[in-house]
Amino acid sequence: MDIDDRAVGFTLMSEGRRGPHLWEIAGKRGISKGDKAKLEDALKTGSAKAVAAGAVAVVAATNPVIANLYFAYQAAKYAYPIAKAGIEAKVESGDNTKALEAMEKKTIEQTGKVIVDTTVEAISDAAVDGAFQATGVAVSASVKKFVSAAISEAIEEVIQ
Amino acid sequence: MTSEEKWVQKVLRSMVKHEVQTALMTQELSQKFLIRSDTKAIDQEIEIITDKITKRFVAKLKAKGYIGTDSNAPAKEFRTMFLEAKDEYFATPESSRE
Repeated sequence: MDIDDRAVGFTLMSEGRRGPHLWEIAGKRGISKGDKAKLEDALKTGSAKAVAAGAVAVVAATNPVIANLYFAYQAAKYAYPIAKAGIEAKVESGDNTKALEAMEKKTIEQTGKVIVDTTVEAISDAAVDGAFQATGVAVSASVKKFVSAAISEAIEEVIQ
Repeated sequence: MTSEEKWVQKVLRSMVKHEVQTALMTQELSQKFLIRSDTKAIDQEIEIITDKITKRFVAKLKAKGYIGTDSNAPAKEFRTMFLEAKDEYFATPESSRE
């Protein structure tokens, strides 16, 4: 039996539900040989509780979400001066358009890039691109999009 | 005025939520932290847990001087602090989980 087949057997029995696949637990990049061996051992010999604890450890050790979270942290730090410019303009004028213009100006100043539209999405995309270039953290286009969406949401929240 | 600490919390929240949901997929944690009979309550509980873990994590970053300064947390330390914040929450008795 393959490890993935056994992982399917990791069920939440009291709920009558099928459990997650190994890749769902450990992330799509997979897990290291050592972690895989540990999980295999837990699955072979352990009680449901031990298997659950083993799965948590594997998640903690291997989940690429933490790497993506690290990029989000760096992007958030990079974008803070931009958001701050928008917040200050909003506090001064009470006007969302002025807040957006202030953020656009600060984004251009910080990234050196021209922003085509004065929208929250365009500003956050440019900020994330700037953070990506400034930090050199290797992330996929989809992660950049996800982080950009998180920044857009945060901008909308703070200038409301 | 939103501080850098609050700002980072807002940005990281959705990604922390993903991690919380993944952790709660395990039987041990879902039984301990979620009420199975009420789907709405599960969603609310995930939001509450996400907020608390994000807050703890960002407070750790700030305490080490990685927020509100030009200094960035090194990747390894960042990972350790996040796992600590998450593990501390899940291991803490309910009465003192704030």
